[in-house]
Amino acid sequence: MNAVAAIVGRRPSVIPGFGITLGFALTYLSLIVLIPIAALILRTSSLTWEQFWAIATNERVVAALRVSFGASLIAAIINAFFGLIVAWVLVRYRFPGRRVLDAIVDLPFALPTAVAGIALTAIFAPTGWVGQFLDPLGIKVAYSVTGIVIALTFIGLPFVVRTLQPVIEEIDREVEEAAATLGANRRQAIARVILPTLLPPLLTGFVLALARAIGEYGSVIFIAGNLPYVTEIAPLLIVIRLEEFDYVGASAIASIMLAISFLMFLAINLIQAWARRRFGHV
Amino acid sequence: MNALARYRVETDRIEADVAAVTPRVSGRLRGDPMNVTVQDLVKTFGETAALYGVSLDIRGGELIALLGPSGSGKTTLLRLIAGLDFPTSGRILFGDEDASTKSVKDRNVGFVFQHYALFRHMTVFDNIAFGLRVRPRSQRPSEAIIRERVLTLLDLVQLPGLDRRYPSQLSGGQRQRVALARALAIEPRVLLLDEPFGALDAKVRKELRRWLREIHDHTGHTTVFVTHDQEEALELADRVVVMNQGCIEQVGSADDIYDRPATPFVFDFIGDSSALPVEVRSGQVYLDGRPIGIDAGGEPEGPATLFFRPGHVQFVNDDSGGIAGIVSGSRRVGDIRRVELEAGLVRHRFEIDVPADSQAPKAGRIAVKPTAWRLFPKDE
Repeated sequence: MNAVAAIVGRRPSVIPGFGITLGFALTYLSLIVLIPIAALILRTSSLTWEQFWAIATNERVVAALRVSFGASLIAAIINAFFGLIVAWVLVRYRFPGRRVLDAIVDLPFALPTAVAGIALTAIFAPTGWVGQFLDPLGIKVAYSVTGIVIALTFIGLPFVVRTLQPVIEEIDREVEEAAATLGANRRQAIARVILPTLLPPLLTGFVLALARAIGEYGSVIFIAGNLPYVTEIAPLLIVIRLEEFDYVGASAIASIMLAISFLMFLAINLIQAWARRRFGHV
Repeated sequence: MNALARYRVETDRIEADVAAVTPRVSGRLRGDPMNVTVQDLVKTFGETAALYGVSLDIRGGELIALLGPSGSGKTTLLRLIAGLDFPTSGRILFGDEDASTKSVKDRNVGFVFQHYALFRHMTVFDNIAFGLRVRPRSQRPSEAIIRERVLTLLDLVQLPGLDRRYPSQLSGGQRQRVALARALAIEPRVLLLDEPFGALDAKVRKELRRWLREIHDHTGHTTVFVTHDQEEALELADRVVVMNQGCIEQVGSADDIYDRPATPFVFDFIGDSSALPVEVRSGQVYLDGRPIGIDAGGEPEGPATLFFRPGHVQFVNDDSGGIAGIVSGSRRVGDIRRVELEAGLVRHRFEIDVPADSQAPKAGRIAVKPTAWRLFPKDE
C-alpha cells in the first residue's frame, strides 16, 4: 500500500488511484483471461508442428470452422443492419409499447441459450409454426446452416442495439437541420451525415455480436442438426473431442479458433483506430 | 512601434485583404436582396404559445437583429422563417412568393446555428462544399468550380489554408466562421443566424461582430440574427426587433430603441434605467404624494410608471421639488460612478450617475430631477 501511495504521491492528480486501479486491472485480467488462455496454448504446444497441422487441415475441422465463422459473419452482418434500424426506431420515435419493445431487446442476453435453441427449433422444424409453411416451399431452416444463422442472429442482436442507442441519442438534431437548410434531402442527410457518425459504434456492435456468435454453443446445437461436414460448428467439435478424451485435439481446435478470432478483431480495431485518427472521434 | 500603432497597421492590412478578396467574391455571392414579410405569425407548442400574431417587414439587404430575453420567441421566429418549424397560422413571404408551405430544403436559406452544427466527420472543405454537392445533378457545379468556390469562401471568412482540418481541430471562433462559409456557399436568398456569437468569449465576439458587419456589407444578403445581447444588436443591426413573450415590442434603429423606447419593457430591457411608481394629477407628477417637478405632458390622470436613465438627471435644491433620496450605496461602472438611492417612505430604489472623479457620497440626502424621462400609464 505504502509503495503504491508513494508512486501515486509523486504525481499529484485530481483523479487519484491510478496505481492501485492499474494494478488491480492487470491482476484481474490475468486471472480471468490470460491464465486460462495460456493454459490452452500450453496444452496445444505439447503437439508437434506436424500433428498440429494434421488437425488444422483435417477436413472435418476445416468444415466446422468454416460453418462457425461463416454463419457468425452472416449473422453479425444481419444484426448490424437490422439492429441499426431497431435502435433508430427505439430512440427516435415515441409509440405505445416502446418501453416493452426496448426491454424485449435484452431477452437474448437473459434467456438460457439452450432454451432459445429449443424454441427456435420448435418454430422452424418442418412441423413447427413457421416451418410447416416453409417446408412445402423447399426452404429448410431447422437442421441447416440457415437455422444456425438464425440462432446466432437471435443471440447477437442486443449487442448492436445497445451499442448504437446511446450514440443515436447523442446525434445533434441541429446537424440534421443544418443538412436540410443546405438543401440535402432525407436520403442524402442519412447517407452523408448520420451514417458516417454511426459507423464507429456500428462496427463495435458488429464485433461484439460476431464474437458472441463465434463462441455460441447452446442454442446452435439444437437447431443445427449437427451433421459433420455440413452443420457441425467448431465449438461442438471441441466438445466431441473432449468426450473422446482427446484433450489435446480439443485444445488444438480451440487455439485455431482463438487465433482466427484474434486476427479478425485486431484488424477491426486497426480500422477503428484509423477512423479515430481520421475523424478525431469515435 | 507601439502596440496600438501595430494593431492599426494589422487592422488596415486585414481590411485591405478583405477588400481585395471581395470584388472577386461579390459577383457570385451577391444575390438579389430579398424582401421577407412575416404576416400574423402564430406558433403554439401544444398548449403554450411561443408567438402571438407577429408581423414584420424585412427589407432586402437589411441586417436585422431579433433581440429579447430567453423565452421571448425570437428563436422560434427565426426557425419559422427558415422553415425548420411550421407556423400554426400566418404567412411568410420571400419577395412576393408565399414560402409558408415550402420545406426548409426548398427555401434556400443560409442558417447558422449557435453551436455551429458542423459535420464533424468531414473536413472544413467538405463541410463548405456540402450544400453544393447535394444538389441535383443538373444544378450541381463541377468539382473544379466547387473547389474554387470553397477556397474563395475560406478567404472571405479569413481561414485560408485550413481546408483540410477537421472541425475538432478548430477554435470556437474558427468553427463559427466555417459555419458561416458553409451557409454562404449555397448562395442563400436570406441569411439567418441563431445566437451566432453566443458560445464565444467576449473578445472573439467583438471581433466577429465587426467582421460579420463587413461580410454583410460586401455580400448584401438580407440577414436576420437572433441575440439576447443588446450591445450586439444595437451595434450591428440596421434595425432591431425587440421581442418579449411572443410579441414584438418595438422595431427601430438603435437610436429609436435607445432614445424613444415604445413600451415600458423596452425602456427596462435596453440600457440601464430606473422605474418609479408615480401618480399623474392635474398635469403634475407625484411620488408618494409629493410633486417632483415634472410636467406630465399629455399623459392621462392616474397611476403611472416613471422611467429615466441614470445619466439623465440633474441635482436640484431639495426645496424646489425633485426626487429626494437617501444614498444607500455606490459603485464604479466604467467611466462613471453609479449611486444608488432610496426615495420615499417605501424606499423606491433608483440610480443616478455622477462623475467617477467626484467623491462617492457616503450617506445623506440628494434630490435630483430627470432631464429626460418617459411616463407609461399603469396597466397599459
